Amino acid sequence: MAVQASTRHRNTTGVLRRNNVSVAGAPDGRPLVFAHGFGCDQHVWRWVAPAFAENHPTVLFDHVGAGGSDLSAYDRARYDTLDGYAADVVEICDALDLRDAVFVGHSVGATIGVLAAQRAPGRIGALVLVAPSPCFLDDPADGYTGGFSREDIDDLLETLAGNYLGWSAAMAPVFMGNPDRPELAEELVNAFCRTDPAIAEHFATVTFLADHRRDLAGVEVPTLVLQCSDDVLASEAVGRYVHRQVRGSRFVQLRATGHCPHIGAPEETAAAIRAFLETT
Amino acid sequence: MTPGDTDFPEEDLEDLYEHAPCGYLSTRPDGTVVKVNATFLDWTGHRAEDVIGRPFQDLLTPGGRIYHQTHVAPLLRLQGSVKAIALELLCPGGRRLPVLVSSDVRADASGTPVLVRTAVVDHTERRSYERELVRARKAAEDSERRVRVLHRAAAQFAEATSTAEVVAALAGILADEPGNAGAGVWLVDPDRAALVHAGEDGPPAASVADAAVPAAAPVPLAAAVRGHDVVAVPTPAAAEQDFPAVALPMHRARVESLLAVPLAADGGVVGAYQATFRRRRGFTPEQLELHRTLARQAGAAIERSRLDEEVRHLAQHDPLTGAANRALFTSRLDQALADARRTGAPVSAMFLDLDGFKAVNDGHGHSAGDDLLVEIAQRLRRVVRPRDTVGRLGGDEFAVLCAGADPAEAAHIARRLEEAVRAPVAVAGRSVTVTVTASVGIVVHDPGSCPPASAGQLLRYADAAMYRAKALGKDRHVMYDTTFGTELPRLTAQGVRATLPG
Repeated sequence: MAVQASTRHRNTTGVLRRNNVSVAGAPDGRPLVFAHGFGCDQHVWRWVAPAFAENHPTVLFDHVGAGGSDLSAYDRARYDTLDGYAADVVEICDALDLRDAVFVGHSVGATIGVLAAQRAPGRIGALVLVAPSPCFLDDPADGYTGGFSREDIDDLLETLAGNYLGWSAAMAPVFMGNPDRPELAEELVNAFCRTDPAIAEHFATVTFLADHRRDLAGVEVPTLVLQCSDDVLASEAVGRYVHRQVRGSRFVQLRATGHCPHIGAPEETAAAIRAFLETT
Repeated sequence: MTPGDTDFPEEDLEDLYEHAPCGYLSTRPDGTVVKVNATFLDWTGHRAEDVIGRPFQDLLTPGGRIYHQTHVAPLLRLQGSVKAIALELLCPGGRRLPVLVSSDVRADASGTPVLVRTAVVDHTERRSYERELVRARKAAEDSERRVRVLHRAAAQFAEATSTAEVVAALAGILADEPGNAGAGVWLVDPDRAALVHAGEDGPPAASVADAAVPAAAPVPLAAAVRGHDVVAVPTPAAAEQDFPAVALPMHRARVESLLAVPLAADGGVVGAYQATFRRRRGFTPEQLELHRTLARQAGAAIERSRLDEEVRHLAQHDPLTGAANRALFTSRLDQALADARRTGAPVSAMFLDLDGFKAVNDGHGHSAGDDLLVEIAQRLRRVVRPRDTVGRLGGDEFAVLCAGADPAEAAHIARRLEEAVRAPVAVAGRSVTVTVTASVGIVVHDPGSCPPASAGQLLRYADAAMYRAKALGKDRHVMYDTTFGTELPRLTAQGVRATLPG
């Protein structure tokens, strides 16, 4: 099917602008939607998405607050839970009139896909969960080991604060518009994975304190869990938990190490996704 | 080396690498450390064999590890380098060493990364200074926000002229808190030993409580009132453990945490509010204190507005029977007439005089007469429609306002009034039973066919009709009409018409 901006959707342009949506690849074929995780933007898919461009439309976007998204659209109430981000994904699917799309989400992007698939049956027809974790916190009540404690998340927030100190002041001329220094704007365009410090802190809080374990059971589309080796953020135990909770899901252990196989091992990641596509 | 530098000792590059004033690490693209210099080992206290072969991110604090894996590592691949990233190294014994980290990727001829070079600079002094700065800024922002909330509350509570307005202002303030999934206010109803939801729309689904909460119920709202302090439910697990009754409603409403806060006033707890949140919250002492202060302000405002309402009620009601006094009845009738001009609906007013009241007063004493009036007023209130007003205009004279009632409906209500009055009444401590009847005069104002009329005029017509009922033999109602003599304007059963006295 062709991917094109739907005229039925009143606010199509607004949605596509808000989430900095870019559509590439083949005009026809089953669409793939790629969602980045915390700390990054859509550039992380630069070595994976093109691998599908020949036969599929590929849709990249930035979560509001990240990358080239519209920062003025950042509504603290809307984005106080991952449901707000999932609602954005549904709006993007509506705006592009996607049907039976394959949603490829990394880390928290995977959880957002789990929520979005349940909000928009028909739009999202399959899920690829790359290094997913439905809950990063340990739960002493039932022995679940997300890998982190509340103190660890506070430590992350301090780390964020330490790295963003002074960031606002440095970027202010860019936002205010500085015609004498166009290189500032250029620098912003070329900068990967930048975000506003207050948004980064809020997104970190929402991401790492969320618990969406109960939402996994509601997934009814074919699902692939891609598990990395030696991933300190999403351990194999967590990946296997996701696999158990999502009925009928497939579990693939990658050789790639770390939390970002789409960056560290794009060929292996793309091959695993392709193998999944061929059977669903 | 330039000729001028001949007396400068020759640098041993190996020594320069090992003892440079910054730490050096070489890692594989996946982060595994393959080479480390002596400075790094000195600073951290690690032994080389503990570092070589481990992923670099393992050397970081947990929060730094997350930041590294989610942001720094991808950035390094995308850009080929990262500069001055603030992280903390976790050293033996649990010591933390704040550092700035810069890395460069070395690629082979095909562009494939083969090696990452990382330089580490001790950042301890600036880090602690920056951390203080961040903390101070955060504390200032938090405190400014709290002051803003309380300032807004003080202003809005001061403007409120009724309990309902205080409740609405409080609900508005709570609704503006980020992440709030719904907040509701409940007021103590001592008669029912319960908390009753206050507000127009009933309890919002997300607020996870019934419209009426029994005082003894095992739920946060009731617990907050019983314990006179904030009850925090920070997670679904805490709900299941402490308040199983709300765990399922919370899950259904997609609420993960909530706060129940008692509205304390000088005279005791007057109610409580419940704020619900979409995700779990670790409520800080400052947040809880903000809620306590907000609740104290609201509690005091509610207590004050209730006293105001009581004073206003006293000024507008007959102290013996609780019925509206003449001033309130007249103002309600005027209001009904004004509304009728807009809507075109009829307005009925009745004048009711008891037949035989003087005999009760004379025969059994004033106190028996008072008992009779109290009972009659109660009966009248029971048989009129919920929005009708029963007033006592003096002595044994009552009046009833029935907005929207046409002549047929007014007559129907009048019959119910007569019947209610006719039933025997026990007075003087139930020792004596007396019986009285009512003579009722009715006037129906139809704005479509009558010129504008005032409350005073309508009451005079109803009074005249009441006298006609007395003259016709009492215990009956009479509708005002045109045959009532020349001293009054001509009327019809449909309403006041024409020829008002100039």
